[in-house]
Amino acid sequence: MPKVAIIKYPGTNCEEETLYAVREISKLEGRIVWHSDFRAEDWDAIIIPGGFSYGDYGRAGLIASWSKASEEIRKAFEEGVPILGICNGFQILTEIGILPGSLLYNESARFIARWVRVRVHNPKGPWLSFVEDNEVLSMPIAHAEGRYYLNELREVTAGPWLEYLENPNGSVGSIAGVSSKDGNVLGLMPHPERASFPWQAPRPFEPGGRKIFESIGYSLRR
Amino acid sequence: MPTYRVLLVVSYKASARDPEGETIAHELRSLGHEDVIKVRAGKAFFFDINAENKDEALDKVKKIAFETKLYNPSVHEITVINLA
Amino acid sequence: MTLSKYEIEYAQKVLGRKLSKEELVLLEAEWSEHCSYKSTKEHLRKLKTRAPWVLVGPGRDAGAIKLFDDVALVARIESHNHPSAVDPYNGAATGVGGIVRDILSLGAKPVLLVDALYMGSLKTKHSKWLSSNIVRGISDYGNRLGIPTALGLTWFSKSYEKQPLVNVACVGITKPEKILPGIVRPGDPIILLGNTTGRDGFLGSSFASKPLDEKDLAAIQVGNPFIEKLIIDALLEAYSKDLISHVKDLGGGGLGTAVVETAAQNNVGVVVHLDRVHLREPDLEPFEILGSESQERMIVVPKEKTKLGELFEIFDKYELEYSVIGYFTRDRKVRMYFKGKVVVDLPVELAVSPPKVSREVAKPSPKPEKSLPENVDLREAILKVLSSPRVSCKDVVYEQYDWGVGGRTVLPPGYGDSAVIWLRDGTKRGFSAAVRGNPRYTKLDPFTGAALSMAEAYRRVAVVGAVPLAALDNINSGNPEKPEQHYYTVKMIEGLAYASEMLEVPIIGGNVSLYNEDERGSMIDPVTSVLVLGRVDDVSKALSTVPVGDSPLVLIGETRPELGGSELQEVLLGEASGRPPEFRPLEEKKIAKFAIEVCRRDLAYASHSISLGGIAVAVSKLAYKGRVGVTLDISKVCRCSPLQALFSESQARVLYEVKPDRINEFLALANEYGIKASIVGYTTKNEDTIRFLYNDKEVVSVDLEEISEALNSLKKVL
Repeated sequence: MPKVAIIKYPGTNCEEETLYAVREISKLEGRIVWHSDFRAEDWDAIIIPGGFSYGDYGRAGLIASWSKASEEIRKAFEEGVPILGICNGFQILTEIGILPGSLLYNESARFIARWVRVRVHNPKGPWLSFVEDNEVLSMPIAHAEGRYYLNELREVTAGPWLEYLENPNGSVGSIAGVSSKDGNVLGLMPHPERASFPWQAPRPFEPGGRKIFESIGYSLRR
Repeated sequence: MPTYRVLLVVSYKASARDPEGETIAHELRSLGHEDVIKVRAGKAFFFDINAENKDEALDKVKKIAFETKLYNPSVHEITVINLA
Repeated sequence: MTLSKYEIEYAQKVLGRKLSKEELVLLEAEWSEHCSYKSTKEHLRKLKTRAPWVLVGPGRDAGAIKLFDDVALVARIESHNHPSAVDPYNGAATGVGGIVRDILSLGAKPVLLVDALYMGSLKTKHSKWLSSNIVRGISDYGNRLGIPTALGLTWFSKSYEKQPLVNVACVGITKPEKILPGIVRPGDPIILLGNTTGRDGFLGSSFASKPLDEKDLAAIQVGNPFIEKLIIDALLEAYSKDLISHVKDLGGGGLGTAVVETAAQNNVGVVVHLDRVHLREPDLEPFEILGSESQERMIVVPKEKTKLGELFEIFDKYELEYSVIGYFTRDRKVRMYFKGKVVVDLPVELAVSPPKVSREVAKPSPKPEKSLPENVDLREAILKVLSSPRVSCKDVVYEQYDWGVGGRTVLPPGYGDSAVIWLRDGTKRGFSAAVRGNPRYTKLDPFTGAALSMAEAYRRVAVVGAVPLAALDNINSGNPEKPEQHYYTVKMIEGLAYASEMLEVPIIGGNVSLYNEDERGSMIDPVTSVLVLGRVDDVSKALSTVPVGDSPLVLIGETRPELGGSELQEVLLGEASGRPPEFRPLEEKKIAKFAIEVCRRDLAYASHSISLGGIAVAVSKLAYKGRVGVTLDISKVCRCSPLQALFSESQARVLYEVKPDRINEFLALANEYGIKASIVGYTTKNEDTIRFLYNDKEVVSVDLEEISEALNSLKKVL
C-alpha cells in the first residue's frame, strides 16, 4: 500500500486528524514522522499538517524551515513526490521556497477561525484529481498569518489555485491556496481534514475537504 | 512645528519571561550560531509626530503609549529612540 | 502575606519552635484559601458527588466519569480572576495553561477548552482593554496547544469593569483503566519537568486569596504555550508507553504545594533538594524556589525506576528540561534541603490542615422588583435586547479561538446550544458540554441563581441529544471574612447541592474564587459557572441552531410572567431587581428526556434552548442563523402580556423547528412525556422578516437586516 508521511515539528497540532483522514478516506497507509527522522526516499506522498511549529515564533513557519527536514522535503519535491501543506504546512512550504509567495498577518490583525467557501481553479495533479474546474468546496480556516501575498499573481493563477468566495484575511486575489504548475505540490490555508466527514460540517456547509483525500488515495493507487 | 520620527519598542521587562525571544535564541544556537547570548522579542511602532524638539517628541510618544496602553507597565518596558 | 498571626502562632505551638522562612512560604501557600478551601470546605460537603459512573470525584487535579465502557472523560474548571485583572493577556493565557496541565495529571488527552468570561461594560477604555486582551490571551495560548476552544460564555456588566472573572475549563479523554491513580510509594523519585523556575509569579495563590492592590504586580507570569505543547506531547507519549504513575501540575503554591499534596494523599513523606531544581536565575534563594509559580512545570513520578532512561529519552526528544529533585519517604514528614541544610521540616498533616476558621453569614435585605415602564414599544424592546452585548452574537470572540483543531468539533460555537465533540475513534460516538452562569440571577438570589446555572447547562446538553452525566462548578464571590458577602458563597453552594441532587447529576469537581471585590471593598456580582458534560451516542444526530425553513415552530415547556432579573429589565431599567425565574427541576428533567428522544428519532431540524432575552431572542437567533423568515404568534406562547410572553426568562423551555412530516409524532411524544407543546409559528424559506402576531393579527414585524445589525453590535465595540 502506498505510504504517506505526515511530518511533525515541535508545535505541530493537526497531525492526528490528518492521519485519520488519510487512513479512513484516502485508504492509504499513513504515519506521523518526527521532522528530524524524516527521509524523502521512504514515502509516496508527504503532508505537512497544520499547527504552530515552534510556537510560530519569529514568523509562522520560519523556524521549522531551518529544520534539516527542509532538505529532505526539497529532495522529494525534485523527485516528484506529491506534497500537501495545510495551513502551517503551507506557511512552511513558502518559507522553504517550494511554493511562491508569503503568508502575512491577517488584515484584521486577529486570529480567524470560521467556515469558508473556496473555488478551485485549473484543478490538476494528485490532490485535486476528483475536483472539477470552478468547483466550490467548503472548509474551515483557522489562522493568524494567512494573508497571501505575491507580487506577480500570474505566476500562480496559471496553474491550480484556490480562491476564497469571501476574502477573510486580505489575501491578494483572494488566494486561499496555490500549487506547483503540475499540481504535485499544493499548499492551502483551509483545513481539509476538518471537512472530511458529514458531521464535521454544520448546516449549510458540506465537507469539502473530503475530495482532496479521495483524490490522493485514487492517484497513488492508480 | 517640525515632524520627528520616533521608534517605540514594546518588550517584556527583563524580570518577565519572553517565550518568543528565548525560543529563537535557543534555535539559533542549535543551528550553530553559538555567539548568540540572548534574544529579546518586541513589537516596534514607528511614529511620525509633530513636536517642538526631539525631547518633546520622545515624551509625547511615551505619554501616548502609557495613556493608550500600547504597553502594560506591569509586564512590559518601552524603549523610545529618535530616528529623524 | 495572608497567613494570620493566629495561624503562625498555631503552627509554632504545634511544632514547639519558630517557623523558618521557607516553612512560612510553604504554609502561606498551603493554608491559602486557594489551596485549602478553608472557608468553604464544610459547605462543599453538601454537594452530591457520587454516581455509579463517577470514576474520580472532587479532590484530585481533575474529576473523571465513565462516558462509555471503554472511554473516560476527565474534566476540571478553575478561575484565573485576580491575575487577569492586572495583566489580562497573560492572566487569561496562564489560566488556560494551568487547566490543561490538570487534565494531563489524570493521564488524559485534552480535547476541549472552555471559558466563561465575565467582563466590563465595554463602555470605558479600561474595560475594552481588559476584555480584548483576555480574549487575545486565550487565543494566543490556547490555539498553540492544539486543543479546540469550542465552548464559552461571555457576559458583560459594569460590575466587572476592573475585576473581570475568567473561568476556564478543560475536558480530556482516556481509557478508564488508563487514568493515573495518583499513587506514589516511598522511594519513588520525583522529577520536575518543564520550564525553569524563576522569580516570576512568586506565590500567586495567596495573591488570589486576598483583595487586589497595586503591589501585586510582581506576581504576574508570562505563559509559554510552546513549552506547554511540548509537555502535552511528551507526557502523552510517555503515557502510551506506560512509563508514569503520577503527575501533578505546579499550580497555585508552586513546588511546595504539589509535593505536599501528593504526599498527603498517599500518607507518605517527601524529601526535596531545592538546589537540584533547574533555575532561570542562578541566584534564587530557597524560599523563592519553593514559592515560585513559574508556569509550565509539572512533577512526574515514574512507574518503574528501571525505565527512567526511556522516560528521559522522550523528554530529550522534545528538548524539555527536567531535574530529579527528591523522593517520597515512609515517615510522614516534608523535608526540604538547600545545599545540605534543612530548610523545611514539617509533619505533612500539619501542612495540609490549617486551623479552622469561623465564617459568619448575614443575609442582605432584598430589593423589591421595579416595575417596567408602561407602553413599551415592542419593536424597540426587541432590537434593544438583541443589541445588548450579552445577547449579541459572540463571533468576534470565538472566531479568535481555534474551535476546530483536532477535527472533532461537530457543532462549532454559534451553531449549537452546546459543544459536541466527536471521539474520532472509528465510531460516531462523542460527548457534549455546555457552560452557563447568569450573574443577575445569582446576585438577586444566589441559591436559585446557582441552581439555574446548572439547569441551563443541563438542558443545553440534552437539547443536542446528549445524556447529562456530570457537572463542574466555579463559584466566584466576595470576601469570606465579610458576612454579607460570604452569604452569597454559601447560598450558591447550597443551590448547587439542591440542583445536583434533584437533576441527579453528580458534581465531579469545582473551584471557589473568593475575595473578588474592588478597591473600595464592594463585591463584584457573584456568579457560579456550571459546566455540564453529557454522552452522545451518535454525533451525526446532534441538533443545531440552524433552521431549514418552511417548517413549524414548536415551543416546549410552560411560559410564566417571569421578568425578574431578565435581560429586558436590565436593558430598560439599567439594573436587575426582584426574583429570578424559578428553578423547576421536575420540568427540567422531563424536558431533558424528551429532548434526547427528539434527537434520537431525528424529529427536528433545529432547536434553541430559551434563556437570556426569552423567546424573542430565541426566534431572532434562529432566523438570523438560518436566514429564514419567521412568523410567531405571541398569544400562543402564554396567557400573559405580549411583553411577558416575548421576554419572560422562564426556564425549562426549548423552541424547536420540527420536520413538517414528523410534527404529529413530535406532538404525540411531548404528550407522552407530559410536556406542554404549542405550535407557536413557522419558518419560511426565502423570506427576510420576523412577523409577530397576536391572535392572528400582526403586531410588529422586524426585518432580518435589522436583526442582523442588532445581533452584530458586539463587533463594533470589541
